[in-house]
Amino acid sequence: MKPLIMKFGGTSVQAPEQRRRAAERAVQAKADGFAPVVVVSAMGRKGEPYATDTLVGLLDQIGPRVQPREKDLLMACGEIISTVIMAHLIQTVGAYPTVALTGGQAGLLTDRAFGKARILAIDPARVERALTEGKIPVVAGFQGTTRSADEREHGAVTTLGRGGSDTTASALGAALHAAEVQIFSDVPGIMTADPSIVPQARTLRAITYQEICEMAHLGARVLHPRSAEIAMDYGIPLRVLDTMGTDDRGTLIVREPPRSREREHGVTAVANSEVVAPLSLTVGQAADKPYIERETLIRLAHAGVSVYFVSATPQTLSFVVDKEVLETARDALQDVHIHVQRPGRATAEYFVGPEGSRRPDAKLISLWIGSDCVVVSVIGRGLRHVPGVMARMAEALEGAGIEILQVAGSSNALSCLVPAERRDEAVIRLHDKFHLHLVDEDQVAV
Amino acid sequence: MEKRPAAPSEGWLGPDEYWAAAGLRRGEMGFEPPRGVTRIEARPGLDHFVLPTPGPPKDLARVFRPLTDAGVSVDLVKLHENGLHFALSSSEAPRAQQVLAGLGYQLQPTPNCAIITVYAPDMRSIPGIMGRIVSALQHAGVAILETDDSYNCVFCLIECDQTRAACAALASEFGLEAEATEGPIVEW
Repeated sequence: MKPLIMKFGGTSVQAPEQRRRAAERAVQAKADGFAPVVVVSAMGRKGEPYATDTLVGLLDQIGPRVQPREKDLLMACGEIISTVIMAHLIQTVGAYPTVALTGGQAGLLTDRAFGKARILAIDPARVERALTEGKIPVVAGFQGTTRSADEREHGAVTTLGRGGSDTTASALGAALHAAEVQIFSDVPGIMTADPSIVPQARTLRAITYQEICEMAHLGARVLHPRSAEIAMDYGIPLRVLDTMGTDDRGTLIVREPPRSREREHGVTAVANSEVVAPLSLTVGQAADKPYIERETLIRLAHAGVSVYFVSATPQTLSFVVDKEVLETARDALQDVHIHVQRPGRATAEYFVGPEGSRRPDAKLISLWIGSDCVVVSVIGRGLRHVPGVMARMAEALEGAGIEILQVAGSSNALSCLVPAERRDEAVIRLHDKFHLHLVDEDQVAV
Repeated sequence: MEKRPAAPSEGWLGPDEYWAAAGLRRGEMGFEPPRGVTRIEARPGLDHFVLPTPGPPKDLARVFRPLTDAGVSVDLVKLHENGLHFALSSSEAPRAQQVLAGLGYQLQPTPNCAIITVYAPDMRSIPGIMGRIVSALQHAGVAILETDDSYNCVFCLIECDQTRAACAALASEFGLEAEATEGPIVEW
């Protein structure tokens, strides 16, 4: 029997009705001749008693300085609770024997980066033994363990970071050479845009690994990109489905795009980011600017701030940061003195920020922080080499009076920075401009 | 009092730690690849253009629609305080200049450029890649004409005759194997 990985997210296991439907799906897969391996997230979202955020809140109530190792140990509990409950439920519903396994018991070996661990290796022997015995293994997602030699203990429990249960599912799919990895949630599949913004958004029947990675990184709340990257590396098909839905086609994620009208314009979907903040530094002395640029980027990196939409002129450095780290970025840059030592020249001193605390001999670098923005993107495989996408984006946005503040591109996407208050209109205009609502599903081959 | 940068983010494994923790030999790949730069590529044969504007560029469609209609594909579009910057294939440059001159635009070209692409999967979870790229190129005396970035790579536009120096500097900075620097120039 071919293994089939079935991952049920937090919304799929939060209430008895959803849990029962999830269990029925696993039982049906077994009856259909597959060897299902169930991966589960913690039950529900923040506020629910056993959700991960709720558990972390128990620590936060005490104080902010939680040891990462201890925090991971606590966070892993949400999935373990869910695993035991689902294993018992599946056994009750389907009369198939089950076995509940932690991530470590399922063989996920990780590095020691608590809270954001990466999988170093997988030993699927315990899962394979359960399958051989005719059992349905139920594995706790989002977690693994370090090697026994680490930490001088029998492996420290680690968590895999955001979207970790998706990552667990793909990793097990790869290790077990699964027929498919199915990701169940509360949406019918991957949509052409956020349906809460674009009511005409439709479910894509197929999409490539590269496109889904790009969508996820550009803000679409879909599959976690790491999960897609693992599936791509190991050639495992992924499918995104609605736990409670009746359409079991969902969205299939594969290496090659289908030959269909879906690719007529080169654009598959539109994504939008959370709010970001644009920043710009202006330096009077152009010759010193590369040194200041380097110092600026290093300071931000040391503060743990990622920058993107980076652009530079001889006298300016502009970039955006996520709004949630704006204060950290400001703190790292503002009111600091930067020393520039060019070869063969005397040391020059610069000061970033308001004039107030500047030393008399320091030259001023002005730091500008703009109003809230969002990144809106069109996504399609190989889009960078499709002529006319920039022109169409500009027509769609400028035609609605939406100012384009900056542009960035990748192999599979083109993005524009626009004022945050115009987000919805920008997404709707782009979705319309690229006719993403018009595809005839009958012509979309999977 | 002068502020000092905070300590770098903790938790990541360097390449040697990664291999040790995974029980692998140097260079072997574990289940998930280590974070960081994995590949460098160069794409020559580009011209860079600046279209001066009196303030931040507006009406981009008025520039890009005629170029599209003329079959010209643009790349590395950037908006600056006093100009619209973009790159395009050197073979298409004369046509682009002709089209835009016909509309009254005067372009400032920089011919013979190359885009260096630095691939780093999951780059945005590792602050500092951009800083290291800028620093490495600066130390090698390579001038960056323009940059662009996505979730898994950084693009740097440079003058074509600095391509080998740039690739060597970046390979050295990110500890890529020697063979990665031998023939890094590829056509996309």
